[in-house]
Amino acid sequence: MGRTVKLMVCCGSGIATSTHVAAMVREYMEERRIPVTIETCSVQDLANRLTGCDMILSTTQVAFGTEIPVFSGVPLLIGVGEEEVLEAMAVKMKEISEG
Amino acid sequence: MENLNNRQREFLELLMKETDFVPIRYFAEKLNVSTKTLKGDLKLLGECLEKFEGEIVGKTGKGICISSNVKDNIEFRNQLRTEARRPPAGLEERKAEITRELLLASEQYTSIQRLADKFYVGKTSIVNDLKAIEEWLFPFGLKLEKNNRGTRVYGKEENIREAITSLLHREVSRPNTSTIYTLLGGVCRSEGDALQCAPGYTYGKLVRLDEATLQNLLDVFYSEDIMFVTELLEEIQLSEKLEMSDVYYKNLLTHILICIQRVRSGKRVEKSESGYSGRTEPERYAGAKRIARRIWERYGVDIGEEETEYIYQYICSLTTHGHSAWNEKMKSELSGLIAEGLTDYVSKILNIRFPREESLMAGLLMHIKPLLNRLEYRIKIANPFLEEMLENYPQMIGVCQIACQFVSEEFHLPPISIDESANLATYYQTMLVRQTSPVTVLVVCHSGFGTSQLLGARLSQEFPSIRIYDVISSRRLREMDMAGIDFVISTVPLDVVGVPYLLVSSFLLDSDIAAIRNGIYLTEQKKTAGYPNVYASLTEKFIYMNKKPSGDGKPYMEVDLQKKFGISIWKSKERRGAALCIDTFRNKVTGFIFETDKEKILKFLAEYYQMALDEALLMRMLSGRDKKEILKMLKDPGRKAECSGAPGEDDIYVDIQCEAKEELMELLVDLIAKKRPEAEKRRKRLLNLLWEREAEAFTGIGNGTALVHRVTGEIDETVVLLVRLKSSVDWAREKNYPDRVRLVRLVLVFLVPLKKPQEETLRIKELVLKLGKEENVERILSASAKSEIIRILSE
Repeated sequence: MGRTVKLMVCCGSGIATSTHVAAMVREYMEERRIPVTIETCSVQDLANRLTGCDMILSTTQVAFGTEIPVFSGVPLLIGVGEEEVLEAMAVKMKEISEG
Repeated sequence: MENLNNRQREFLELLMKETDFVPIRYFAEKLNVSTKTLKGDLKLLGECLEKFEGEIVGKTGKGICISSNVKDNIEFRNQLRTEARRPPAGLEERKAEITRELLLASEQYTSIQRLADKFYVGKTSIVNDLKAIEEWLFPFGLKLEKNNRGTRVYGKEENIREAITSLLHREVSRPNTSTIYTLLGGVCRSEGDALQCAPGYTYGKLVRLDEATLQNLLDVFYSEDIMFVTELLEEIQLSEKLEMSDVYYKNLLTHILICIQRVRSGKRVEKSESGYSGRTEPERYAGAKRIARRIWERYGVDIGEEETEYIYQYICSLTTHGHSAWNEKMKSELSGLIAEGLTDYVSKILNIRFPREESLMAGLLMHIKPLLNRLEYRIKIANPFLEEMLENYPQMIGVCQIACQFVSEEFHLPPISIDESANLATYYQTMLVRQTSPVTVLVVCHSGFGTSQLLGARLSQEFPSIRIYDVISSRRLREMDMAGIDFVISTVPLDVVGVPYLLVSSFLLDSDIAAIRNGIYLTEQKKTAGYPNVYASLTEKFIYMNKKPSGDGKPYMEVDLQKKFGISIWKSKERRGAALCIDTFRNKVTGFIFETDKEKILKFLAEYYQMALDEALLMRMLSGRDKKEILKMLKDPGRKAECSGAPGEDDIYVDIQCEAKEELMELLVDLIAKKRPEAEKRRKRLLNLLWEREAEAFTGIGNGTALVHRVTGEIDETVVLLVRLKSSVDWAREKNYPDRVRLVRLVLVFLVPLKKPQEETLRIKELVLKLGKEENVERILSASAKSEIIRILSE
């Protein structure tokens, strides 16, 4: 098993939808035994909290440019294209973890 | 764990018993050492726990606590148990030895100087020992006679024997197996060949004695004598067809051994005043005669008529199978009444209905019959498992002690000792363990057959945790005693039955299931979290902090239900009601009852019993210094659960009718304004803020749930509301989202102030996680009461 991937989940407040989405991701990754630590924050805070972060998942628009891969959390909220996002994230995480 | 010394082991055991952080000081006091010593031990204990992946956690200002995974680790527990060398109860080794000497040579005086020389200690130590011994002897009606010739035990021969018995049954474990092997050597050819018996002996006889008892017997009697009596008993059992359980066997064995020893040194029992002349059981008397004859044959002493009678009484009171005799019949009737009475009291205090199981009654009767004999002959047997029982289920023993006291008063019996009560408690405890659910329901329908049986089956399938006491017809309901039934589930409308009842369809619709679930919840709440009687009679005046209520005379009864909780009943005329005494030094709460009416006493007792089980409440009471605070805890013991994050009933709105999202948002702001005064004037601003968030990104999280929220400076304190809509509202009209996401029926609203307290954020996050689960949402949508919603959210 590779290193643990750090994922930052963000939303408008850092409390509501991010918490929900984070739980979904955690469950999905645990089932696939992908080592991940997940933190949540608000989109305003995001820029200040990127140290050591490998991936971003956001339910709102991320306003600034960053090297870190950003995934959209909206499919997870609306239940359309949910699997695809999770699958894409899992692939990326494996890559980072074993890379 | 092998390298731990006794103190360290004890320390570990004490740690295992605690559920929360406890200051080291507490352990230091208990173990009578300095905190420094224990801090040193912690390192070693930590190493030993490592093997079991556990640790001892320390928290500044709070104390230490053992990690919970070790507590559940069976292997660890077992090791600790088997290796634990518990200190003997009541008397330490030296004191026990002095006591033994004093009792066995009760006619002789001994001097303090002699004892001091014998044990290589100072005279002061001996004087202190004697003080402790005197206290220990007191309950037996024995005294220490001290004069210029020395010290000796003084009292009735019967009492002396009783004390010796008690001393012998004391639980001691001194690993001195070599003597036992020597003794077994008398029976066995060699250790390695242990089960091969020497000619004329059977190993099986000694097997009935456990190591500790054997060890204790060896301290006092010669091994030849022990062997002789074991054989004798074996013979009697075979020839007279007497059957006895191990406990009784041990008692009889000890009794005869003491008898031989005492008679040889010229001590005989006096002719008892309560002399029992009519020998109703000739077989047993023949048994006693035979024992006497064999003793004469072997030792050449005649134990005499009285002693034979004494042994006969012993046999009668110990064996279980009765032979023909008229009073046998009367006794079994009486035991039946007593068993019923006891069960009645116990179930009232426990607020549980024991199922009509034959095994309980049969077991009780088997015990009560000989118990009556023992009471009649005033024979006291020791219960070798008492300590273990007290450790495992002190509450039940306490309750049984109370029930025994009530029963013995009713039937004019002599007091029943704790050893006996504990034996009876075993039966109730077994039933309690078997009874998995605390909620008992009765199912009623027209006939009691057919559909209702089906309903019963479906109920147990749907709610595996409830116990269906019976399925009966509505006609039979009238004759039913409803004690212990929590509520009735009926398919037919009923008159008032004294307990709550739920009318359901025999096909058990979803709405029925929801209603029953709520009923179960309410019952559980009532059971675990209510002290209405105690609370009603308490005022601050009757809560005593570190002192006792003033009162003269003696308590009617005092019983400990566990180490942190005791009960004290007073038959007082001046004051009626309850009082609480909170002793923070001894870390113990005592519930007082001042009452003469038995029914009322039972009501208080039932509540106190709950209190004894509510460890969290006791801890809170012991740490709360304020009487007002304690009253509040008793008034509303469930309050703590509400703080768990779920909104209160006032913050939950069910079956709200709304056409569109716009309408709902307006309504939500109204609701918020109702809650927070500062929001009243800022309605417009709040509405805008909420819409802003909606515009930012979709706030639905699937399963028909949406989170309307905002972190804002417009509000001073967090507001959390839950709104359940009567029919769903389209949450994203312009979008092409699937229905189960777009159509919202459940809305969690929260506004968090800018300086949000960490704890509250966590609470909200937890709520969000709960609403993210489809199953929870479904349950909330079908919940019939707000209380049920709260429960789902705080589970």
